[in-house]
Amino acid sequence: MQKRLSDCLLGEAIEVLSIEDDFMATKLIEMGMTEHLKTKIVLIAPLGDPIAIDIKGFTLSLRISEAEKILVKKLSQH
Amino acid sequence: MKIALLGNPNTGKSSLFNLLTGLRQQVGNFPGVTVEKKSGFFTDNNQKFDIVDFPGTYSLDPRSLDEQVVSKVLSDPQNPDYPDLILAVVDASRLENNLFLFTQLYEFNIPMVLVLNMWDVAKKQGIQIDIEKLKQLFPDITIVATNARLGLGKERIINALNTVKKRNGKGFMGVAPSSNNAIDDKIKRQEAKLRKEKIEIVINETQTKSNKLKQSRLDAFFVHPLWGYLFFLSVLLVMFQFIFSFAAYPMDFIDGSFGRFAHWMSNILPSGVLNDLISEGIIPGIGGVVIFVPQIALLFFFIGILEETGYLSRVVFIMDRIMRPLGLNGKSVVPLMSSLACAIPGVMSARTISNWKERLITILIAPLMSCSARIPVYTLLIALVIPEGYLFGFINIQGIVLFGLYFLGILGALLTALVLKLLIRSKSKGFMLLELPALKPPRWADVFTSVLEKVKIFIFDAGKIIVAISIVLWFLASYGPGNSINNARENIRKTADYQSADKEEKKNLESSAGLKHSYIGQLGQIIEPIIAPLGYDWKIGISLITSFAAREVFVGSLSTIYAVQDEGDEPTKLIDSMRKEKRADGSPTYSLAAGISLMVFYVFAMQCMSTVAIVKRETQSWKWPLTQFAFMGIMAYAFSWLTYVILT
Repeated sequence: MQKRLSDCLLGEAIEVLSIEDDFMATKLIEMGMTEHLKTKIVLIAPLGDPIAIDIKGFTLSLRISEAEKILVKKLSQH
Repeated sequence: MKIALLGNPNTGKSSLFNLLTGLRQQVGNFPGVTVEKKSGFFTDNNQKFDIVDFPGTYSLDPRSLDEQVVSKVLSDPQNPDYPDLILAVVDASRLENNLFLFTQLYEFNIPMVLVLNMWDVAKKQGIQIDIEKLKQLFPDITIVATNARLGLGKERIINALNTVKKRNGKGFMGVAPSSNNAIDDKIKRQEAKLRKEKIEIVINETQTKSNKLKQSRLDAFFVHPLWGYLFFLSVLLVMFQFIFSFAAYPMDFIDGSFGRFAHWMSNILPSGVLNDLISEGIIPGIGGVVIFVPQIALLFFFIGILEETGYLSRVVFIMDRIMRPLGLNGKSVVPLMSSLACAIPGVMSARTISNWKERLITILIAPLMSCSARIPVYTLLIALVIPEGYLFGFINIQGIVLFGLYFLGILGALLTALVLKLLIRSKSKGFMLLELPALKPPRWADVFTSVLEKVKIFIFDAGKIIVAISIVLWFLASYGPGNSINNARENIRKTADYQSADKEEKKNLESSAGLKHSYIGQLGQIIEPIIAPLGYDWKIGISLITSFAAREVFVGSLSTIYAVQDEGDEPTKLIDSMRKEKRADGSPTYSLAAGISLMVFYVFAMQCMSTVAIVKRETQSWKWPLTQFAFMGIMAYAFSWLTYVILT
C-alpha cells in the first residue's frame, strides 16, 4: 500500500520506497535516509507540520512539503 | 602543525575543541563570509598545534555556506587554513550516519585521525564497534575512542597526533568529492547513493548491533500542543525576567563605577582638552560598551543551556509553522524576545539560525522590538502629554498607551519581516531538514566558554565602533564653531535669571547655553525644517541627535537644554519646564499630537549606535546596518508625520 510520508500516522511502521526530488534525496542520503529504510514518525508538531522520523537512532525533522515528496509503504506490525 | 577539526553537528565536536584548547581560543569569521571560525592552539612537548573548529556539516557537497567554507579550504592547498592534519569526529552511537562525512574527508590525501566520540553512550546503548576491524578497513589513519563530554580522551588524541600515519592515497570511493556545484543533481544523488551503500557494508562488518532510537518521554511533552507552548513561554519569561530586571544591578554598578572613575580622572589630570577627552569622551564611551556585558552574558548563559540540552531544536520544531509565513525561523523567537530587553544580545543570538536569509531578517527586525532603553523616553512623554485617569474605571490610560507602543513595535517588526521576505533574495532552497539531537544535560564548561566568547566578540568587535562614535558625539556636543560656546556662556552670565540663580542653577544654565551653541546644537537648528512637519522644534532635534548614543540620553539632553536637574528617577522638574514650552503662536510645544508623534518616532527609529555596531559585526558588512538605519528612519518619519497630521 503506497502513500506519502505526509499522510502517515504517528508511530506507523513504514518503509521508504522512493524520493521525488534529486536535490532533497541527496541531502537525505547524507543524513542517513535511503530508499528501503524502515522507519516511523516519532513526533508531530502541534500544527501538524513539521514531523520527525527516526533514522537509525537519529531524529530528523522535516516539513510536510518535504514529506509529500517521499513515497512509503506501510509495514505490517509485529 | 595545523589541524582541522571536522565532523557532523551534535557529535561533541565543540566539547572536544574546548577540551583540547581550554580558553586559548578566539572567534572570527572565515574571510568574506558570515561563517564563524573558531580557532585555538595547544602545546605538547614544545610542539604547537593550531586547531580550527570548522562548522559542523553532514557532507562536503557545497550547498550551504558552511559546507562551501569547508569544501573550499580542503580542496585548495594554498588556502591559509589548509590543514596538515584532519581531526575527524564521529558520534560512536550513530556511526552509520556519521560515516558519510568521514568517508568524504577520507578521500583527501591529508593525514587523518578519526575520533570515535561518545564511546560510553554507544556502549550504554549496547552498540559494539569493532575498532580493530575498522583499523583494517582504514589502515592509513589513526583511530581513537574518546568521551569529550566527560573530559576523557585528550591524552589519546595527543598521542595519536604524535604518531600520524602516512596516507596511501587510496581513499574510500577513490574519488575526491567535487567542489564543483554545477554537477547535475541526478549524478550527485547517484554518487551519494553508492557511497551510502558502501558505508552499509562497512557497518555490517564492524558494528554488531544496530541503533534503536529510544524516544525520550520529555519530547512528547516539549512538542505537546498545550504543554509544549506553555513550557516554552515560561522558559522565555524566566530568561526575559533575568535579562530585563536582574541585569539592572550589575549595570547600575558599572554605570556608577565608570562615572566615579571619570570624575576621579578629571580631578587628577590637568584641566584642558585632553582631560575633557578622557573624562567626558573616552571613559564614558568605554563604559557605554561594558554596560551591555551583563545582559549579553545572561542571555548567552540561557541560550547555551537551551542549545546544549537540545531543547532549542524542539523550539524550532513547534515554532516553525508559525514563523515560516513571516520568513522567519522557529529560532527567531529567542532573538526577538531578547530584543524586548536589548537588541544587542538579541542580534547576537540570531547566530543560532543557520539559514542566512532567516537570520538576516531576524537581525533586521530585532531593533523594532521596544527595548528597555526606550522606557525612560516613553514614561517621560506619557507623563507629559497623556492625562492620568482610568477607562471604564479600572484600565489605566497611561498604561494602555505604553502597551500600545510595545504592540506597535512588535506589529512593525512582523510586517517588516513580511516585506523583507519578498525583497531579500536567497540562493538556498527552502528545505528544512533539521536534526533533533538527543536530549542531554548541559556541559557547563561549554556553556561558560560560549558566554565568554560572546562577551569577547561584543567588547572587541562592536566595542571599537561604539567608542569611536561616542567620542565623535562628545566632540560635537562639547565644541562649537569659532567662539560660539564661550560667547553664549558670557551672554547667559549677563542675564537677570543667572544673577539671581544659586550655584547649581548657574551651572545648569551654562551647560544649557553650551549645548545649544555646540555643533550638535547648530545641527538641531539646521534639521528643524525637516522635523517641523512631525511637530518637533530644534530643541527636540538636538535631543534626537544626541540620543543616537543611546535612546535614554534623550531625557538627559532635554534636561541639559532646559537647564534643570532632577533628583532621583522622576523627571518632575523637566516635565514642568517642558509643559511651559510654547511655540511661536503661543500653543504648547508638547501638545498631545507632538507628544504621541515623538513616541511613535522612538518606536521605529534606529536611535542606537551600539545596535548599528553589532549588526555590522554580525553581518560582516556596512550594507545591512545602513539599510536598517535607513528603513527604520523612513518608517519613523512616515508614521510620526501621519500621527501628527491625524491628531492635529
